Amino acid sequence: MRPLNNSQTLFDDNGRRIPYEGMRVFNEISLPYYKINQSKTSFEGILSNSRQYASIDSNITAESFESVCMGLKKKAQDEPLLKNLFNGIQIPFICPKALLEDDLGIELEKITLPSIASSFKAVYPELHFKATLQGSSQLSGKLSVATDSRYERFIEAHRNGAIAGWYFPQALQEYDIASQRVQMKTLPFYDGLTLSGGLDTAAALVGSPDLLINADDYPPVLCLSALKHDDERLMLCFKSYGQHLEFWCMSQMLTPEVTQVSEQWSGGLTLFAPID
Amino acid sequence: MQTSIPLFSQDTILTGIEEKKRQDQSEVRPRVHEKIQNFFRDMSSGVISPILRLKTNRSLCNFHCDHCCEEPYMDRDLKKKTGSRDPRKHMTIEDYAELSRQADEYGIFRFVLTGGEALLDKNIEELIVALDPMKHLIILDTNGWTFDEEKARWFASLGGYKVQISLDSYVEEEHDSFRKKPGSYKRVMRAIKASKEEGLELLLSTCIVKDRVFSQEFEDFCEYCSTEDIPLYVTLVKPVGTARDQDDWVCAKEDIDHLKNLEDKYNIFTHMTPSYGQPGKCITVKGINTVNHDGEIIPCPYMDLSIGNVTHMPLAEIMDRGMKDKWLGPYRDECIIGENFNFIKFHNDSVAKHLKKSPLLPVPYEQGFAIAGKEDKNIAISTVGNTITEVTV
Repeated sequence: MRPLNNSQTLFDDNGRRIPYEGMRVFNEISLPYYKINQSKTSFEGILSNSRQYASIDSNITAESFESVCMGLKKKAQDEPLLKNLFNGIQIPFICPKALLEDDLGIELEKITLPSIASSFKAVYPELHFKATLQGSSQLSGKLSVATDSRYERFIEAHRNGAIAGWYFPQALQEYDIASQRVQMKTLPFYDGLTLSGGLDTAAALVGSPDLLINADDYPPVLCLSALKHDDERLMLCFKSYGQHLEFWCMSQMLTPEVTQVSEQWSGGLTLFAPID
Repeated sequence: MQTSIPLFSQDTILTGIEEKKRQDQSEVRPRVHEKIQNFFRDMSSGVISPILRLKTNRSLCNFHCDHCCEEPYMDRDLKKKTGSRDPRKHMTIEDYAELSRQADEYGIFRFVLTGGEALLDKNIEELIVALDPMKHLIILDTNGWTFDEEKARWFASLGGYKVQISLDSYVEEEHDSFRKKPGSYKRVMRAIKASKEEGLELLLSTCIVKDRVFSQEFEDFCEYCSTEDIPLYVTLVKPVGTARDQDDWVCAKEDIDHLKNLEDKYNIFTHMTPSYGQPGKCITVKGINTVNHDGEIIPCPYMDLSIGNVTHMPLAEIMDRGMKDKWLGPYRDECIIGENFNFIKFHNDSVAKHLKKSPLLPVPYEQGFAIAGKEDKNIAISTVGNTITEVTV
């Protein structure tokens, strides 16, 4: 693995963060075994889904949504360190203003996951969306923002209003959870680029419920690594099961001594800005 | 706008029937119950409790099935190829008792007896006793040919827990033809009846080839199992053993996806179905391991590559080695030997290379998974450290 060098492009031709010395990754050059098909849902379609299932303000228009996203895209493409980021799978999303809860676990449980369930079931009534917590784990009162993730910026913006942006689900494919977090120290745009967590990934799934639908290939497991469970053995993710969609709070331990480095697990990056 | 959704957890994921079974174990087999409780408590720490599947009696079998992964392990096949029997030492009853002790210490609570056909093993009673049915759930994997009322009584009296009977088509002629054994279907039906009458836990297992899940026969089979309240365990045909060249039998993702849809409708499952509160995933090492008659441990029922010999090294070390193998340990959704052509190629190339030197399977660890780590960079073992280096920006 090459040493860390912040003077060159940080992403490879497929939009994956190039691992540097100290990262735990499954393969130095990611293999394309686990695939996401680029969703064809339009800005209008995403906004429509998000309005219907995630309480997005009806005053927000598809034009303003697209405008914010395209502005972010230009900004990122003008940044040499982020060159190639948009070569990877990129999902526009719009995330609503926080409704009522300060607690991340309760918000996920009571608002975010039900939104995904409604959106997914509306398109795929014959499939299931299931949420499972391994062991006797809980979400309420147990989640916090992971150190280094920058996700506190996203949460802050979420409490102030709606957020639009891009979710890059495979930017950190094959990284272990800890490395996903640590590498954030190397990225530019401190205020607008975060490791992906529950709210943004969920917003992408609400807007594009076909995100993990793939008839031919297995999609990656979408890690929500910006969120940390009090029990640090656990991780949060969205994954497919066949064509079904599932949320899991499950162990990240490979053995009692070692955490997983999985070819299928993928951390995401989220580029975002407030939208009025 | 939103609809509340249930959050499944360990407390809610067990059905009433499963909860009752577990409670029963606390009375019938307290040590088994203790190990199950410990496993649930510790699984978040990465503790595993895989099934150990024992291939006894040099895999002797009275059937000659088209899709058999065991044929290359049988004396009849070796005799055809080399003129002589398998020269390797078979594990003794004492070896199995020691394996049971190590398994118990490790927290393992399930043994499957298989072959070939396990009931052809003249020492099977001694073996069951040596494994200790009070400390482990003993599951008998059988083609049903000789499993009548008397056998069911015998198995139950020894403390046997469950019978797993193979039925490869719900259509009698198809099953008998696939199994190349006329009358086999009727014997399976007899075995089902005998198991139920004796109060044994029961499941049917069936092997699917590409497209079978979409057939009316398979749907009828699922209906039958639901009606009879028998869980159906579905295995994917693997291009190994007598099916080594049958790549066209390998299931595509659409087959597997359809199977996962049917799981919501019927009581059917595969080795990758979510269970014990864990997500569906490939269960190499962590969910099941096969013990060959000579002690070689194979991290899956269908592979021919060993991760170590339990008569030469401790079971716990072999499990640890397996979990740290890059193919076998880390999380992945797909069945690598049944679906992942990259792994299938690596596996079959390794086997082919080995068979040029020796007719005896499995490929020993040193000549298979260990070498792959060096040649193909397939193995994580020590190259991926457990320490994240802090970076300074």
